[in-house]
Amino acid sequence: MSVQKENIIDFIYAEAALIDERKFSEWLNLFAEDGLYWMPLEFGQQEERLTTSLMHEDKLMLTVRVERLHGERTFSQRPKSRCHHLLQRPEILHISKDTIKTRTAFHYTETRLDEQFFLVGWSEHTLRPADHSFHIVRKQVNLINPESAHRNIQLFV
Amino acid sequence: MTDTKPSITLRIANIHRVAPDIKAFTLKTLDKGKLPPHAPGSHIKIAISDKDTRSYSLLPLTGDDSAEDTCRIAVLLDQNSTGGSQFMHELSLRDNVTVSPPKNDFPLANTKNPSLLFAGGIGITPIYAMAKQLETADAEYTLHYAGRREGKLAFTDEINRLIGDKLHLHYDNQDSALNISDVLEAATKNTHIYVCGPKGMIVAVRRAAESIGFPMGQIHFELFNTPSTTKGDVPFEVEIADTGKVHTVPVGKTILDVLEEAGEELLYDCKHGDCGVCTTKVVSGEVDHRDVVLSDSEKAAGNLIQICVSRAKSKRLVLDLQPETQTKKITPKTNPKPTQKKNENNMKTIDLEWLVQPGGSEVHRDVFINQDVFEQEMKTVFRNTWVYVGHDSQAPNKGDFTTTTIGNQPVIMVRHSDNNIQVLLNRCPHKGVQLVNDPSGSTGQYFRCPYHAWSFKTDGSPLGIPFEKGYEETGFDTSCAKEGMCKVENVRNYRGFIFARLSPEGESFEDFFSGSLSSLDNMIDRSPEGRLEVVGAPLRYLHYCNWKMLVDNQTDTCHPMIAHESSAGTVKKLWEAAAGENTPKPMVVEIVLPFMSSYETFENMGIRTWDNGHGHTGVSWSIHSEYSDVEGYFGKMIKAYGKDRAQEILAETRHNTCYFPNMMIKGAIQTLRLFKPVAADKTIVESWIFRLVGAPDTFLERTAMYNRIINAPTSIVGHDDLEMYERAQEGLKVDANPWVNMQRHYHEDELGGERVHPGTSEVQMRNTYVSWAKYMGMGEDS
Repeated sequence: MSVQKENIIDFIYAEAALIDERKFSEWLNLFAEDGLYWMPLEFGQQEERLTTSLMHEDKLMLTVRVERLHGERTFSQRPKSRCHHLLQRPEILHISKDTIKTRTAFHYTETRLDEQFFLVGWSEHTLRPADHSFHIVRKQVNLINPESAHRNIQLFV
Repeated sequence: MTDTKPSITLRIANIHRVAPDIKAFTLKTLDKGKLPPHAPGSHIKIAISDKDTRSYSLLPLTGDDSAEDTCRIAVLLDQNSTGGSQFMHELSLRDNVTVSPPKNDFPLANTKNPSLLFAGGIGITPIYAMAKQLETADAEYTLHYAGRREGKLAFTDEINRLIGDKLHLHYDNQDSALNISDVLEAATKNTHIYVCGPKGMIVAVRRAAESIGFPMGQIHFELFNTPSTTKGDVPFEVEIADTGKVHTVPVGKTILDVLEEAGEELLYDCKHGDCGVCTTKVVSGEVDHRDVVLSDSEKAAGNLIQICVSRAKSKRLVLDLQPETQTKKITPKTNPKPTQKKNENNMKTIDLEWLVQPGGSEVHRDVFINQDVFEQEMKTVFRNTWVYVGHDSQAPNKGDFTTTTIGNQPVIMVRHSDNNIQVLLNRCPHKGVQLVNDPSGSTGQYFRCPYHAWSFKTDGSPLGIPFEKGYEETGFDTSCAKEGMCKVENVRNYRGFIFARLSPEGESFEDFFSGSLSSLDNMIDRSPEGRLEVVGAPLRYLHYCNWKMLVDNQTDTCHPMIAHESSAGTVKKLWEAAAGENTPKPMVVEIVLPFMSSYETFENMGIRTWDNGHGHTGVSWSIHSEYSDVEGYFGKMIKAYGKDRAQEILAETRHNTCYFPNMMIKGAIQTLRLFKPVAADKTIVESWIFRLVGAPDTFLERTAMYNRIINAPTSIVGHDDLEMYERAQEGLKVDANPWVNMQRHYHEDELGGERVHPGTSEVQMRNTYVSWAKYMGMGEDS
C-alpha cells in the first residue's frame, strides 16, 4: 500500500482516542510483537537499558498493565481513572516504505476521584506499515518534567 | 525580697539532651565577663518572666569550659508544668537569659569526714558537683543515685567515668531499688549525709538518719520538687491577724500567691517548701503541711506554716505576718510526674508513652496524622539520628554538590577542597537565601549567594562580603551571619555512603547502627572492587500519606500476595499461560514472580532486628535469592575475595533492610529508597540505583529494571501500595478506633541487640516505633 500522510495522522489520533475511551485491549493490538513503549526518567535521556526509566515496556509488560486495569482486585482502579489526550497535529519526521517517524505534542490529563493532574510533552512514534494500517514499533513519551515528584500515573500517556 | 536578684546576662552556648526529659544547658557570660566564684551545691536563679524566677543547681563543667565564665545546669521538663521547665526547654542556642549570682545554701561541710550522697532523679545536679569535688580531694564517699527506671537518669555515664564504683545506681522497678536504712546503717557515725531529690526521699533519709542517731548537723538536704495542685485540694480562707483582712486561696494558687497579689509584703525565697524563709506563724486553724522544712513535731504543734506550699485543712487559717526567724535551704525544680493518658484531641504535650504502647504493639493514629507530632519528629528524630544524605559518587570532584533534606532541613552535600564531603545547611547567613538549589552541580571553589554576593568556602566558612566596611563597629563580629554557613559537624562517609547527625552531641555512628551495617557492607561487597556508584536521577514519587507508612511496608511480609495480586499476580498468570516448561524466564518475570510467594515462604525467611530501629527481612531466603547467574561475575568475585568469601557474600540475599529513620536498601539488587517527610500526610519517596563497580552490566540492567518496575510512580506495584497508604491515611480519621495494630507475633522482651524472628512478625515495625519514641523523647538538641 502506498503510505498516505493523512492515514498516519489519523492513526496517531486514533491511538490516543483508544486510550481515552479505555479500549486498552484494542490499543494493545496496535503494538507490534517487538513493540516498545518508553518514557524516560531524565529530560533528554538517551540510555534505555542501563539507567532508570519511568516506563520501558515490551509487549509482555504492556499486556500485564492492560490485564491489571481490567482486574477485579486492582484496588487502585476502584474507582477507575480516566484520561484525556489533547494532541497537536502530528508532524511527520520521516517516511519510507517500511518506517515512519512522527512527533506529536500533547497535553495529557488523568483523573481519579477528586484528583486531576496534567502531563505535558511530546510523543515520538515509530510505525511500521501493516495490512491496511500500521503497527507501533516504538512509542517514546517525553515529558517536560520527567524528574518531578509525580503522583500515580496509572493509564497511558 | 530575695538577696540574689537576676542581674547577669548569660548566653546559651550549648544545649544537650541528657535524658528523655532532661536538657543540660551550658551558659556563658557575654564577652568573656567573669562569673562570681561558685562551689558545689551552688545554684543560680533564672528569670523566667518579669516577676518569676526558677533556681537551678550548678553542674560540673565539661571539656575546656572554665568556671570563670561558664556554668552548666540541667532542667527536667515537667509534663504538667506551664512555668520554668517549659520556659527553659523552649530556649534555643544563643538565646540570652538573666540569672542571679550563684548562691550556695547546700555546701559540702568538709572533705575530711566520710560523705554519703543521695540523689533522686534531677536532684543529681548539686550531688554530682559534690561528687566531683570529693573525688578530686580523694575523699571517702559513696553516691547513691535513684530513679524510677533505667534510661530516665541523666549523667550516669559521665559520673561513672568520673567516680567508677563509688556510684551506685538504684531503680525503683528493679532489685537495685534504694534501701535507705541499709545504706545509712552501714555508714560510720561521723559521716555527713547529703540528699537532694523529691520530697519523699528527703523525708525518708532524714527520718532514717535521725532514728539511727546521726546528729542533725550532719544531715544536709535540698529539695527538688514543684508543689502542684494535689487531688482533693479545696479553696480556703486566710485571715491576716493584725488587719483582719480575709482572702480566699483557690485551688491552683498558694497562700503566698494570693497574699502577694493582695499587696502584702512577704519574705520568701524557694517557693517550694524547702528554704524556710516564708515560715509564718499560725494563730488559728489547721494546717495541711506540704514542706520539708518543719520537723514532724513542729508540724504536729501546728503553729507554723510554709505559706509557699502548705494549705489548710480547716476552712480558715488566721496568720500572723510578722516575720519569723529565717532558717535553712533553697532550690526548687520540677518533679517528674507520671505521664497521663491524654484525651483524644488534647495534644498540647506529646505523650509518647501513650502514642506508642509497650513494645510498639499498638501505635496511636496521631503518630501518622497529627501535624504537631510531625513537627516534633523533625526536631527530634531527624536531629538525633544518623540520616542518609547521599553517596560520595554523586560529588566525584571538588566543588561538586547535591542538594537534599534531612527531615525538613535543606542541606548541601559538597566535596570540599580537602576532598572530604561536607554537609552544610542550605541558607545564606545573611538573608536566608538558598545558596544553590539545583539537585546537583558544581560550585567551583566557593558558594556565592545570588542575592548579595556573600561568598563562602565549600566548608561553609566565610570568604567575603562586598563593601564589608559597612559592618565595622556594628556588632557584626558577634552575629550569626559572621560565622558563615551553618555546618553539620557530625558527618560520616561509610564506604561511600554519607550520613549526617544534625545534633552536635549524641550517639556515635557505630553505636547508632551497630550490626545493621552488615547489610550496607553486603551491598558494597557485591562489587568486585568493593565500590558502588550512583547511576542516573532518582525516581521521585509523591505520596499523600505519612512517611512511616512506607517504612512499615518495607518489612510487611503479609501484604505482597494480597495487595500485589493485581500486578505480580497478573504477571504470574500471564507467564504461566504463555511459558513452556523450559522457557527461560525473562528478567522482568524473574523480578516480579517472587512477590506472589506464600505466607509460609515469607514466614520461613525470617526477620532480623537490631537496636535503634534497624532491621531486615529475608534472613535465610528472599525474593531476590533466585536471580539467574551472570556470566563472568563469580570469577571476578573469587579473584577479588577468594572463593569462600565470595560465596559468603553472594549467599547473603537479604530482602529489605530498613535503616531508621527513613532509608531502605536492597543489597542484592543495589537499590536504595528514601522516605522523605514533607508533612504528616505528605511524603516524597526517592528511589536510587547503584552500579556494582567492576561487575558486568547485566547487574545494572536488572537493577534499573527493578527500580522502574517496582518503585516508579508509573509502577503498577507502586500503584498497589500507594492506594493502601492513602486509604490508611484517610481511614485513620475514624475516631471510634484511634489505634494502628502491630501485634502480629508480638511478645515482651523480643527486642534488644541482634535478634531473628519469624518472617511474618511485625517486629520490625515495633522496633521502629520503640526507637521512634526514644528519639522523639530526646527533643531538640541545639
